[in-house]
Amino acid sequence: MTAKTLALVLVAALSTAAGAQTWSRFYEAGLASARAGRWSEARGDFLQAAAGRTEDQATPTILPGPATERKLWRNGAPYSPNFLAAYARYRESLLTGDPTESAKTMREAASEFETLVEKGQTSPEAFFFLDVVYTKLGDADKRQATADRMAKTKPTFKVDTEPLAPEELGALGARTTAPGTGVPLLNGTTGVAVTPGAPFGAGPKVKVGGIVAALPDKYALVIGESDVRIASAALPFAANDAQRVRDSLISFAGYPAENVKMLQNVSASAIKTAADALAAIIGENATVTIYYAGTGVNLAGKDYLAGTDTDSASDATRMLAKTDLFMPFVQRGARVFAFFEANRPIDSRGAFFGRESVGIGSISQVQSTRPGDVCTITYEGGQAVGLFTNAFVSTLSDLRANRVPIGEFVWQVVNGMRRGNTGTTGGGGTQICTLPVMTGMASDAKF
Amino acid sequence: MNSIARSALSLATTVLGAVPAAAQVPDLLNALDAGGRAMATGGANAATNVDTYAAYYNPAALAYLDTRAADLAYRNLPKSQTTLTGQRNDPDFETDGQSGERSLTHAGYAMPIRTLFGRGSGTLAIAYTVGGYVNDRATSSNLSDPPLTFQNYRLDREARSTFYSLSYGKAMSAGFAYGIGLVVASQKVDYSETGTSSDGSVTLDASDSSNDTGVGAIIGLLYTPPSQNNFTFGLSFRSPISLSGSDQYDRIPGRLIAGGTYRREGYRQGKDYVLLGAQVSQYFSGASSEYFQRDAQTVFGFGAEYNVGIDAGRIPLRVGFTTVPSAGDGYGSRNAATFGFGLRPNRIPVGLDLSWAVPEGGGYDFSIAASYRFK
Repeated sequence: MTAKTLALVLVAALSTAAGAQTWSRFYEAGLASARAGRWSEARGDFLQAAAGRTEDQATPTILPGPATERKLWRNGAPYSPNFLAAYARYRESLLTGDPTESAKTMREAASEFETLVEKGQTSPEAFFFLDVVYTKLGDADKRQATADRMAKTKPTFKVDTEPLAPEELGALGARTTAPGTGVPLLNGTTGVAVTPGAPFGAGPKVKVGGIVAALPDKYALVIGESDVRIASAALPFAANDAQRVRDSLISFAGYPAENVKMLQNVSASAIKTAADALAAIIGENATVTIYYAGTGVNLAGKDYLAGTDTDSASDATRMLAKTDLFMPFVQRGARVFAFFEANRPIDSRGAFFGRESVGIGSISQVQSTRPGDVCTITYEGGQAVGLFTNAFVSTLSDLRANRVPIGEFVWQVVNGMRRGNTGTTGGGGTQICTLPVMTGMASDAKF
Repeated sequence: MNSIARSALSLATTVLGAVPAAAQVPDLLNALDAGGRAMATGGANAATNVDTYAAYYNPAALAYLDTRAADLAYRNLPKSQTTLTGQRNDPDFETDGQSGERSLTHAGYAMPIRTLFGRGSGTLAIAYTVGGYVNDRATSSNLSDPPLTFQNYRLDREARSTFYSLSYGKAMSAGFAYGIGLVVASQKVDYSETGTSSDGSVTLDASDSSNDTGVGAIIGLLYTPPSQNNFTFGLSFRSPISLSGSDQYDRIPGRLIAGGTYRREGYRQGKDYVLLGAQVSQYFSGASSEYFQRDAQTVFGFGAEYNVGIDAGRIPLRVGFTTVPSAGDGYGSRNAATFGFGLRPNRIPVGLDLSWAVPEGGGYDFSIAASYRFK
């Protein structure tokens, strides 16, 4: 073998190795983008992964390595770049303000789901999203065709469901929504007999899981600020926490998805703008939940919230006063339930975030720590999660109610922070949240 | 070494060299199993297992340690008790194997170096491994050497080979991985002989000990065919290691290991799987020094590991057999049936392995090993 041949073999071998890693890298980048809600980027990454490794695979992918120590890629998760690219397209369509453009994007997603089904990749998820898309498009014929095809097929193909929203997973798991309560159509009407996620042609059944029924008078503003520029003050997990809170409010606490505004890593002024916009659309006697994960300070007795443009803990001009966040809702007569996940160091003057009380309106405030304490984390699915957020989400998941009494809820959050998911009595920990500080509100007021 | 000691050791060597193989000192001077997972399978998967023992057996397997890892093994160091009778120049031997004292036989730490050089940069490991051991006490109350007869005769011999390995393994494409390593050997030899002739005219009272070092190298390959990934083959070569300053044990033999493992899945609705392994180790180019002859030696190991999947993790059940023939005059074979079990919980990244070996010459071996995989 000549040196040239040897070199070619080596290059080929290294290229093979690089190719073998590339699909995985793109796929994981796609998952990361999906987690952050960047659906366009996620789709691009999934398509890149599919370019390196073409077909979706329902069975676990065995990583290179010896038979003695077999390792499965992503703990045995299916490899589903094509399915997830289609799903990302569907999610993109939901973000498009223009109904025409949204419908066009949905049709593309549907076409891709159809292609997968044609290939024999008949996953329940593919049928589910076909049904959702055709419902939204108002295409009853295609819905029926999808239902007919599903009836003839055993949908056993497994796909990677990690990026799917909790409410979608809940709906997929429950599959028992009563007929006639389908998702709103793009043309403003409601769905027909076939319900997304329900077995096609099935009659009414008892719902055992899935999304808690949404109430139209519930609104939420969820803010996660990971990128605050105040040295050592940022909570790097805050933006992810916001995503979890947003999802749990929708899935487990009856907040309509369209009534929940989530902000991740935005300026203080953007928070104010979003609060004003949300306040403008709420009705009388609305319930508004505000969840802020990030950095808070107390200056001259007033509480302030930091945004991505905040680079000093002493410059109130680049922060949002807490009362300015509350006031638009208070002025609309809303009941405000505020939760703050922020460190609460006590400064040399004895001041700490959360010290300011608000004297007007109906407001409940809960802080994630006691004064002087800092926020700690735990891990869920390999991701850092604020301990408070984790208990908040977990408690909502346990209660599954669209009218949650604040006092009882917070006690359960306290227990959740102390016990994790390890049991039902006792417990301990370095961080516990405060009980609600009420203004014009009963301790059993519901949010 | 003084002249009396040399003479006495020479006498002992002559005596030991004359005895039949079946009754001689069980030979683990080249091939003491360091304990751990492989021991219970007769050492069958030592060249293909992915753990810090790979630094000593086959550094190529380190390539697939993708988290930091630590392993410890604690086991008995087998000894034997020999009774000499008859003529001094042609005695009869009666040797019983015993379990011996227990000792740490492996401590290893491995670290993927991707944090320094990016993902897929390979894994570095450092390991302490006891890889060879013999310990025999020969006694006689009446050993004839006309015109003398020795009473209260006793000959103690202990040799221990310890290896410090710094090894590196890296995966390549197409199912191959390679490994290289530096091995520093520490060879300890202890010897003592005592005895008195019945007329009191000759007294033997000699002892000597040495602790010598040498440096060698190890290279290894691991291959898992991409289209037949239920098979894995391992191959490693360790150079002979010359010992500096020793006049009792000049060179630790080189070692060539070839092993294969077959994995079969799908038992109990896919919860269980089995690993079948076979391995051959060839020891070669040992120096035939005056007191420790090291001829070529071929060691075989066969074994199976049946992994029972339970909700909380996995329980590996192991069984095997190993054949260790004599590698020189004065030594006998030490074949053993092996068995053991382990525990691999899902929730915590620790492993526990208990292994036993029942050699045909008596005694038993026991190893307890723990592993930890850092998150």
